[in-house]
Amino acid sequence: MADSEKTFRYQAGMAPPEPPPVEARRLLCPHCGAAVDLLLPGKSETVRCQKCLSILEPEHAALKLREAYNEQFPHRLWIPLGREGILDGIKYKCVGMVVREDEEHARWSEYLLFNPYHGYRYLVESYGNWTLVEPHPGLGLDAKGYPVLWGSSANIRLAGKKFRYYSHYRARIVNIIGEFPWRASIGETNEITEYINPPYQASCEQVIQYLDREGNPVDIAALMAAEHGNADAQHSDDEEKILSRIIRKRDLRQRTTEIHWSVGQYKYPEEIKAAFQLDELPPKEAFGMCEPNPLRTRFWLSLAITALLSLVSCASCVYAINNAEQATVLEKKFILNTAEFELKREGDTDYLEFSFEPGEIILPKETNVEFDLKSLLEQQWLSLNIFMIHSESGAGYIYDAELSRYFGVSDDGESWSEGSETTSLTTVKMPPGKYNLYAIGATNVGIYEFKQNLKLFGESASGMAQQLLGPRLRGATQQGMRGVVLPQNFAGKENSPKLELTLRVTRDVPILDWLFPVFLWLIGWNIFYLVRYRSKEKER
Amino acid sequence: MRQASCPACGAPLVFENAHSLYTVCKYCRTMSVQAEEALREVGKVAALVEDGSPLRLGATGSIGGKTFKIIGRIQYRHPVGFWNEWFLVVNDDEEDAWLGEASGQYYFTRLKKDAELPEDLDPQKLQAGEAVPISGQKFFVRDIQTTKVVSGEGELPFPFETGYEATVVDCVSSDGDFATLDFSEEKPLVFIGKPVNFRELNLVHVRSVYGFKATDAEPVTT
Repeated sequence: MADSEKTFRYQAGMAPPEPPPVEARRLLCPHCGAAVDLLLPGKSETVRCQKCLSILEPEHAALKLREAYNEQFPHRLWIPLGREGILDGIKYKCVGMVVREDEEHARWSEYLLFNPYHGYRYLVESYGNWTLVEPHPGLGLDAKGYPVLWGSSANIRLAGKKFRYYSHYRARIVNIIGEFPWRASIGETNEITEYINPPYQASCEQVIQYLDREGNPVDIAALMAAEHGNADAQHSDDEEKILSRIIRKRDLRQRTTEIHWSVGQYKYPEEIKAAFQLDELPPKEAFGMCEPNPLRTRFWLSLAITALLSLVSCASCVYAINNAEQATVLEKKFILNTAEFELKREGDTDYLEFSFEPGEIILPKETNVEFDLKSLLEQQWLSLNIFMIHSESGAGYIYDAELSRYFGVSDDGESWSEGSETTSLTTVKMPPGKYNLYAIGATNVGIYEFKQNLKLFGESASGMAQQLLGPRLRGATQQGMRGVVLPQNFAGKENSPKLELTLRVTRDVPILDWLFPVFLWLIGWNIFYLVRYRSKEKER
Repeated sequence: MRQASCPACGAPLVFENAHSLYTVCKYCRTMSVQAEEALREVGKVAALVEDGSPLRLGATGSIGGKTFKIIGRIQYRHPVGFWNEWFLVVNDDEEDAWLGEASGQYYFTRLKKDAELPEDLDPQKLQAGEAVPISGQKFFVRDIQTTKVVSGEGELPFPFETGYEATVVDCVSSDGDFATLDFSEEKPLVFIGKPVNFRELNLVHVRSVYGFKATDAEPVTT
């Protein structure tokens, strides 16, 4: 005990000794003599001389040489040392920078930022993408709530967020500049596992202790360095081999003593530029690891719009169905004798033409009209022109319907069929009033028998089919082309094949035809955005 | 609050926490202990190392609606950097509270004297990631480190010894609780609490360090 302390006696009003303020200090490099500004005395354990790049260590208000260098820093510092900037509302001072690379020699820079109240942050710059990384006091947990150990590709939960596995790699320190609160050295490697949930990212590093057979910890760094000297290994991928060789040779046991997690958030370059008042930034050369995918929003937007449109579609369908009267105004079955048809020819095709009058319908108000047509067909076809003539105005409307059904067995024994026995068509909105319906059809039903009868009984002198129709419609029947008709009476006429037709006319039906194409389009639209989003994700 | 005077130099001493048995005189750095009615001198303690901590004795804050005041400190040296355990007096509170602090990381914990730990828990055999039940709650080891006591100041519930080495095991639970097991004594000391960030502590009277003013602790609105 010093004498002055022994004799110290408190006197009233005496102020307690206050420690001097903690401020940046200018010290001298013991290697080259240049001035070294120690920004954080008391915190930093490593500082590099910016002139000769010697690695120094603060000790009792001076700097001690740890590793001598006579070099120039070859990397560009986009954020100068000592520069202050505000990120997320907190002022940070840039105090150091580490250049690291992975096994594939991809390089990135980590700027060490400091605020005495909030601690250290890493601002990582990789190919023009910036991420602000903060140490996290928790542990990444798997789905069962157990800590995820380094290298695990499980999805994790940390800081209230879910992250998906991204990569696991060994990073080597290529170079350092500035000051660090730990014993930083060049060539040091660390294994890192990364997880992402853009714009967030989580990473895990572990500290492994190596124990000998007696359970005593060994200095693995020293052993590695010695081995390095022997093998002259340069690359980080050799690191792994050297390590496993040492472990094997000395029968070492590994013990994980520390697990460090950190959480990062993507920062747009403009934000970094503004925060640190920078004139220039590295060009953005890649899609960032935790950069928000701009197509993600668009994909979700398209999904949202789809959901909305689907809802609107469903609602309008329900509305249309509920508000349509759907009243059947006519339902009749027609059995037509093909012997009364007219044989006509167009090009190389023979067909029978026929006509009939389904009757009249009344539309009490302006509505559409649906015609449902049904006929039993076997290897046959049928086409029908339906004429609607307004009884007061005389306005005429023509609608076409076609039916056909073919089936058979293909060469390889598969049975097939095409066409249908029913069809329906819907008109536009028709003015109210009474309508007379006329139908003119063409078919191949009974054509064989027709021709047989024609051979037996010859043709009639006059076409009667056209006489069924009013003069107004005569022009519509195949340009008035004349066909061949069987005699009005002949033996076995009643046994000729019959064409059975069922016609149902419904007024005011809901129109839902647009639904299918709309859905098809929406699905296509979503697939388009999903594919674009996925392909962008692959660029990470 | 009790008034006393330093048995070595006579300077006035104040005990703000009823649980404080030890105190370090800020004038002469003598540690004394309360023995019966009077204070007994334990001895001089080493000087604190300037670690750039923004906290100091007398700083006040509040957490979860309870106000507290920093009244003591034990400074530790970790393999990487310094670690301070600040002893608090919390208003209307019986339990001892501590604020662990290291470079911007803060842990608000309380000493759990009746905490139950597994029998024969050997810190040298523990691994990070391993589960450790503490009083029935499942914690996982985050890190195992050897710390060395540097010094201390203010009033404290127990003494410290400069240079004393101890293994300290930090654990976290799946719901974000934090626990420190301090193996400096035969029966490990168990501190349980939560990691907190600077803003949650609502601290006032913090130190200005490294050119950062206390106002820089507050979020900047631009």
